[in-house]
Amino acid sequence: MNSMTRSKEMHVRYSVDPDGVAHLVWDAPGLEANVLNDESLDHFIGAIDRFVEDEKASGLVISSAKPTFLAGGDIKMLYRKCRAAQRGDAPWDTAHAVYDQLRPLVNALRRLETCGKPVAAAINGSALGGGLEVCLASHYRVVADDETIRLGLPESTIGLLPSAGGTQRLPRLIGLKKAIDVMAFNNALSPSEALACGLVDEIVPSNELIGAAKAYVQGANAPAVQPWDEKGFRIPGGGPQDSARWHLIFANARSSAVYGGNYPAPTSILTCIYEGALTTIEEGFRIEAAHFTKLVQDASSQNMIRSEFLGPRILRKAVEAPVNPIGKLGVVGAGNMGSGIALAAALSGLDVVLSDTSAEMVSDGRQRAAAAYDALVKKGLASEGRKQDVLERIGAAGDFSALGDADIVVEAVVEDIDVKKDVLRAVDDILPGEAILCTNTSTISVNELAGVLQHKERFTGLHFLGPVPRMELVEISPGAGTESHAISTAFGFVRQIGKLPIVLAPDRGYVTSCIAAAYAQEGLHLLKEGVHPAVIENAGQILGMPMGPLALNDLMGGDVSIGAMRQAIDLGRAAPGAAEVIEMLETLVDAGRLGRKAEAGLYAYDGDGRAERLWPDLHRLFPYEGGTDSSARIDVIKMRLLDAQVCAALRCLDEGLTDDPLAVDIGALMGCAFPKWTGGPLSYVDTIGAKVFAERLKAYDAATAQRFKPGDFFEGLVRENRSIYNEDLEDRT
Amino acid sequence: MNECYIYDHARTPRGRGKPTGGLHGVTAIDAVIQILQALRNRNNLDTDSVEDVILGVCEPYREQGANIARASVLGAGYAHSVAGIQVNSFCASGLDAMNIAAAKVMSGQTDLAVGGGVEMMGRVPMDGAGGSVSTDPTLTANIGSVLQGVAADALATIEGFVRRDVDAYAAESQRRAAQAWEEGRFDGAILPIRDVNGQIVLDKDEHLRPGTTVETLGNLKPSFPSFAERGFASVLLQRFPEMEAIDFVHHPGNSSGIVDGASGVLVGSKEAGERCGLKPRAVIRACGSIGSDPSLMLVGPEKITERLLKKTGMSVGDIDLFEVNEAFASVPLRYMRVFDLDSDIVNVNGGAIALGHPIGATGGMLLGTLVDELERADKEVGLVTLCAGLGLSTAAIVERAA
Repeated sequence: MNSMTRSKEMHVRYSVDPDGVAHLVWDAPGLEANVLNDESLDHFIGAIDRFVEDEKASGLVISSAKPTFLAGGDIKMLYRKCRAAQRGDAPWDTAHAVYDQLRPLVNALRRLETCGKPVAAAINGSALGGGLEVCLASHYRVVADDETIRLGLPESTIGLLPSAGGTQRLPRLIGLKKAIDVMAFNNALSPSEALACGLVDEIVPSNELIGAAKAYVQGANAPAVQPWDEKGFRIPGGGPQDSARWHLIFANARSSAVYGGNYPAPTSILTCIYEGALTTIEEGFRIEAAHFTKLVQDASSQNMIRSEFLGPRILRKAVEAPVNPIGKLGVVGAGNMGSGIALAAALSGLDVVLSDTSAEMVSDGRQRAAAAYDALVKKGLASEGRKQDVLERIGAAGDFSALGDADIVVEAVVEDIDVKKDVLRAVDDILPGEAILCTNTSTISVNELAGVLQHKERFTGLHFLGPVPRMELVEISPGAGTESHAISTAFGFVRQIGKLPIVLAPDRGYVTSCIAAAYAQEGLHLLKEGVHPAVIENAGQILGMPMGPLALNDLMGGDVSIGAMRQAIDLGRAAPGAAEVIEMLETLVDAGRLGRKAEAGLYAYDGDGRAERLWPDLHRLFPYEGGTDSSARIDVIKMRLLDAQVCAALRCLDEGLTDDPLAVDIGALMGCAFPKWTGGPLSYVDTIGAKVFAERLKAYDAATAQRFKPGDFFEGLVRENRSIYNEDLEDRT
Repeated sequence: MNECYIYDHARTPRGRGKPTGGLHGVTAIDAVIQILQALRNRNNLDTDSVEDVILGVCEPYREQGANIARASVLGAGYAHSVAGIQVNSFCASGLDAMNIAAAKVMSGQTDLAVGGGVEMMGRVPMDGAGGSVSTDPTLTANIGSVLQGVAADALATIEGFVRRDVDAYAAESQRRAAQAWEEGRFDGAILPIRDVNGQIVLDKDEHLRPGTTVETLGNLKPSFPSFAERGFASVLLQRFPEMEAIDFVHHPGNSSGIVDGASGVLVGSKEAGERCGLKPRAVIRACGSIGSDPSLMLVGPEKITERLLKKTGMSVGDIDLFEVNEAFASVPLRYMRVFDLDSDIVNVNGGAIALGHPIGATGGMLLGTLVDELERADKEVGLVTLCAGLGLSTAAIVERAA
């Protein structure tokens, strides 16, 4: 048999112990982790069939020779297939063909669980997606006692669903409520959580894993039949039309609330769970395959795979980082941004010195870092136990002298050009030659700041977003004189603290600032036109933005926004319609409505700085029409909030901030919380087509159309009937 | 088209829908049997002449399942020839059952029929029958299913009804219902329910809380915030974005009561009435059902009212009395605002807030109340309407028989 002679290249090894226990070991040749792709599936199915037919084998243990068990499908392969399905290329050229491609694995797993011989999965590391589905088709699951192991079915995050029976077996094993949580809301389980809900049967030390699995298949009473194949089987917790009914009702409501109508995958997952639970498991597999087929052909899966997985992977490797990591970070300015940057670095094990003009201000900054740490603990993103250790890494300095031995210094003082120039000049003087100097400005020209420095070559813009510990994106905007060494050092530093760097062209501004400003400003334009503010805010949320545009204005602060827009006008980068917005913001500022920091803005605030309600007197400054009149126009309002951002994104390419569409899409998604279903503003244009988008822009009223100018780059797309993403992206990974 | 006359009607008292309720020991079939027998006995009906019994049930499962209409025909000792049909349009089921009976009479396909309904909510709980409506994920994603109470709060928010408005309405419903009982206005309609030995187990509505005021209601906590937070609020905000947030104003004191009850209305053609020696009390001018927004759900009554007025060529001013089911206080409040009605002609004897809403039975009960009140107040034309799940609504316009 072929597999004997080529065994070294096999993804899956099959062997039988003298005692009759067979082993199926996942061990992808030359890879760090096992992966499900066409080749490995072929090997896996072959091994299953051998076991089923092997008269010498009395039971089977499935295990992995890698640190993880099996972390799911090959994302690049999935991306290729989604693109092929959406383009209509063979072999996924028809819905029928896609469906047929799924059946071999589904059928093989079904043969395995019904072959009459016991099968145990020995789960030594994380089992995700298809990896967990393999475990679900086993009769017994034993997992290593390592709480960092994750057992989950995260397919919804890339617009897909578990397609190897997961939507059918998981609810039958652990009940609808928990299964919905795992699949539709992407909550992976730790071993102890998995044991508690019955997803796994046993937790043992990792060196006893194979033994425990083997002991099960050798046990005299080891059932070789799945619960759902037993007569009289009932789903734990009941079915969707009896005792689990309210779980479904609430899950549907939660799905509508969380995903709006924008994401097809969670609805499909819930439907597979619901419909599957009302029929046989075999029929359930067909329902699952039909929904997977539908999702593969929907643009959202391709867009989400590209922007959630492939894009960040590509951008992380965009620049070769220096070999030597950063040992010490200096931060100048102990405000929110400065203390946040300090904390983010300390969390990654760097030593930090936080400086400001007085000991008192630094002390305040350290307290801010401590409060930010507490917020992370609250969200489960950091452990209380590490708190002291992390915060002790942040040293304090009441002046700049302590920065002398830093490898990199980030300036994060107040957004005032003269103050920044003074600070940067002073730091530049004391910083050794090999160290890098960065500014966290979001609005001031890097070139202009560089103008006051002796060492322009080691100076770059490094744009963090708040809250720093939670925002993964950092934009690098060098100056005209910045050397590549400085850029790669900054890039390496950002990677070192676990964040994603985007390198932009010298001194053209930041992608995230452009797109966020477009959203916030379009909200104000709508308000000025008399649209009810509640409708504006809800329209943003209906799009899938986590925050309405008026709330974003309050967060940015009216005075800061005015300053930024004036700066943009001076630099010739202002968005169309900026003057009107400045006028509105000035009206608000004059009325004392600066925003959240003043606890008074477009919103009214409670005592704790939380927005309570839209400011009831807002209509006195900007009269607006009745809610229902605005409501009737919700579709146009919603599209304007989307299109304003898309136009800003297109202008980023046009104005040369970057020539990489990925940098713009990922910037919008990670920096501005642009809705994921689109894959980013540029993916969105590709999805609907440049011509369609151009038509839509033309259909707006004259004043709006005047503002929505996507630029020459876009006109070229329309003229030449091109898409923005042309080459096959997987070549870049 | 034939005229359809209302000859008689009967209803059980409304018992509290809980184990301590007066009808809790009465089966659904027994309640309906006693209604059917009363209609037969007090009209000396030869049941051979009845062609249909059509009953509304919102939760047709357990003892209310399997076509309780036919079962009760047989149980009541009606002639075997009497057909039985069970219908479901949620809260409007009882009126729809009556409307279908009326439409059969009007079309000449039936001469004499009973319409009505039953819902023993303490014995057969709400939401037990299942269904796709809010469980099927694809359907709910498409239609935006929400819990009705959250929709009622959304309606109040959109209309600007604050807590005091809805509580004042509820207190007035209590006052009117108590007065109606004091003055014996329900005496003609109420059928005391008896046990196997003929002992009366309940002869009065028992959900009322006389003496209720805005102040006493003020202590009650809103019922629906926790449901809203689980996603229903977002569904409504997405569909009605003019709301900044939902104001929660409804609670058990200003929402319809959960009760047990059954109702029956005897309708028929002029000839059938004459043949059986029945005296017509009212004639049905128009009846029908309609759908409206499934998420907001509760604005159907105005839509069906507009349609019936248009079909009959009548105007709102032609209607002397209204029965608008008090599913939640915001429903009749909105209805009165839309048609600019004086509250003196709407729900004059109180409504479901005070008396309870035995879902499938309510339509028949309200129709009976309307006919009795037209006679008592010496008025001519009345309209009855109920809102129902998924935006349904049903109504009928009746006129006193000459």
